[in-house]
Amino acid sequence: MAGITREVKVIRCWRYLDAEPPIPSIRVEVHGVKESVESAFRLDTGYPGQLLISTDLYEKLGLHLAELPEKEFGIYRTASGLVEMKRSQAKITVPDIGIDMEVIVETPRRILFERNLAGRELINRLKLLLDGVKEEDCIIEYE
Amino acid sequence: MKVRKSFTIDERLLSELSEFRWRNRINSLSEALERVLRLGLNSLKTVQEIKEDEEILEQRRVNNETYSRIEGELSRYLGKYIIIALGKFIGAADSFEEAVEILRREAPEAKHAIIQKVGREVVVEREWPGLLERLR
Repeated sequence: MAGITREVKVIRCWRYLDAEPPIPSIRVEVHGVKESVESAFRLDTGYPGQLLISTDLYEKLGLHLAELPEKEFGIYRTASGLVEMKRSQAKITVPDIGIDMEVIVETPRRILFERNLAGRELINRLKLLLDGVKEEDCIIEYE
Repeated sequence: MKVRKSFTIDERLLSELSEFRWRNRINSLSEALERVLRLGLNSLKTVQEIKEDEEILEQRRVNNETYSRIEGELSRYLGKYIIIALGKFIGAADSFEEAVEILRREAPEAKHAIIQKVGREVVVEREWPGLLERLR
């Protein structure tokens, strides 16, 4: 078979989330002002930001207490018009693999949102292998 | 069956509606209004609106007023995290964790606070065509 052989070290894997079809995800611990919560985040390459979290999780983490100034809240142009977000500062860690970074977390400002998404700004900082056949995705290392 | 009703409407919104009508070559303003309402109601069916706590809203307003007032003087804190709560600048920290500690110590009763890394640039407006399906 044509191609380049690379030696890859698999650091950590997660099962895809149950759905039709299954969804690649990573488990991340988000550290807010009130609490730290570990949760599964869908990998969503359509979402341009870092983390988009549910309305409930935003409240549970106490992210109203670490918000960015209102003029820096995000606005997304969607097929049905503008959707406003509120934005907060937080930290994320992925236990055992040394991911420890500051992130900007968003949630829609006026609409109930019930999912947790990891977007391109976060995904693009990771080396990820999507194994759709095994329904798992992995953090990897390679030269 | 069509019914006749009278409404009051913001002048700017009316001119946007009028522009929508001409752009889409719609026969009448009533027809344009019907189309816009149908689109709006359909998209609202898939989402549930939320109302934030009044205290959070008020403290956010006051904290953002303070931020706007002092924004021009924040360059001396470049790279640091400034904290605003209860309408006051309450300190600057070297890290997010330290900023949270200062907030807990200096304004434990706050319902809203701003923690901002001075000098960090963020993108405000972005495209996200796929958001609609994600809201369901």
